[in-house]
Amino acid sequence: MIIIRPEEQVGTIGRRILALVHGAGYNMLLLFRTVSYIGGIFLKSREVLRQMYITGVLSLPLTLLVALFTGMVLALQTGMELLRWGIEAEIGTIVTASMSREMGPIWTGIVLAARVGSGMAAELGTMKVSEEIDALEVMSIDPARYLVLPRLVALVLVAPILTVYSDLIGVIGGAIVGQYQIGVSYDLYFQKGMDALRVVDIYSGLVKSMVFATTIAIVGCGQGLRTTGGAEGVGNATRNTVVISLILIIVFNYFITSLTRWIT
Amino acid sequence: MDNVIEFINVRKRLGPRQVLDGMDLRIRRGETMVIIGRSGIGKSVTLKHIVGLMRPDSGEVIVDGIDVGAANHATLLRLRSKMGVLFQSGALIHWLTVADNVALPLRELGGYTEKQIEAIVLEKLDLVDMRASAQLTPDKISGGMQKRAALARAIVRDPEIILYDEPTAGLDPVLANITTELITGIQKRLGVTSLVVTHDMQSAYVMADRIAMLHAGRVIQVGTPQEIRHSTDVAVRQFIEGRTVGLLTDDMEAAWRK
Repeated sequence: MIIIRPEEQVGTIGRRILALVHGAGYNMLLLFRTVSYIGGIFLKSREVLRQMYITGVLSLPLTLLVALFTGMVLALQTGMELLRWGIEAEIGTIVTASMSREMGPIWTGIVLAARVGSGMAAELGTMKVSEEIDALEVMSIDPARYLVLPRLVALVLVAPILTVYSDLIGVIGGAIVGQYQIGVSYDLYFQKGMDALRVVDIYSGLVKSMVFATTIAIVGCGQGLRTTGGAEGVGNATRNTVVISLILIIVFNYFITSLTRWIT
Repeated sequence: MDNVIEFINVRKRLGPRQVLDGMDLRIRRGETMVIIGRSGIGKSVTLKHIVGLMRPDSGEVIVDGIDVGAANHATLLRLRSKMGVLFQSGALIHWLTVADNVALPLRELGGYTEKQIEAIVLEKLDLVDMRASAQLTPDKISGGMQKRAALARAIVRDPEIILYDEPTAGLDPVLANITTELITGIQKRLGVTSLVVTHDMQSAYVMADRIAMLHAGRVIQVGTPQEIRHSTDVAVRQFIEGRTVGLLTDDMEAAWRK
């Protein structure tokens, strides 16, 4: 039988905390270093476009599918409840407000973390393991400028666009359910929806999506650049990216919403 | 004589292993030094210390008069611009063509027009006989061709020092010989200082002005290929003859167990 001594447990907890703090610090420094190169972004426009295609265009179908069903289930769930009170027409208000304020940005963030963040970690992690990152450093090329900057910029540009599509498709999904399952006409649904829509909600959604994009790109690239030890290391980096990104997205989302309420 | 690279009592611990344990080595300007030793003995770690990807726990690594372990970022960048490194796997950027890979250091660091870059790239590709594959990506060419392309990239900025990490590993004997000839050819043409890390004795004898044997974190013998071939040191003898039983294998196992 293995007996774990208390001091070993304390040591393990300590090491975990140190690793956490170290990771957070590394990511902050990586973000600052990457942003410091922003002046040279126009020289990288071709690479930014390539990344926008990979992160944006290729993520669009999945984002739309997720948004469609999110809007549909929102309408169904709230619609069934509101039917009992005879105020089912309000689903237009509820779905539009929920999609633009919370669901659109969050689900887009989750899709991007799972699809793009993990991809960045896997790609940069493989490059690290195959010495490509070392080769860049030896050639005096900072990976933050050459690899992280175009990925960060591309994702920050693409995420708000995806979020707008996501909001729109979610609302349309809700309308379909409203029409055929709840019995709220398109006209009434969209009229309620337009009344509920506030410019500040759209802006806060877009700000959220940019914060999420920055988080995903830096966590993904940071995990990739710190990969150690072969294929297993790449797997760890990929998994950690998704887990850390999801946690941060949920937490940041709450604080940005609070901040928005406080400002308005 | 003028030393370009000096290791002075360098120690480096990685995890549980003391990889370098008081290593001393001096490499003269213009010579080809080959470091031999068993796999996992710290040969690549030695190279990483020279380019500043690793810093020693104690001791000094002096390259061109600069203490790499204590150098700041700007000094390190200046130092690296004088060096070319051929990585074991080639380490070509996987989405760029061969030509773009070779051009990468020139493009990224600026100071050249596209026309100049093209001329330099073609010149270097000719040196390694890779002009015909210039427009292919790394996944479309063989391992030997990747190494040649990587070599062209390593010399594109006309370095004074070239470091080779296992240049013949994973190549068939004919390709290994071609690569060895390529390295000696480049050495003669460019007059650079070369440091080659390998366990391929055949190519070591051909390339080297001097050979250093690394074992248990130290250099146990330095000498001309002739001196190494006739060495009386038991560890060196075991390595060059490839015997399975002896001091080398015992010490390695002990080191891993520790």
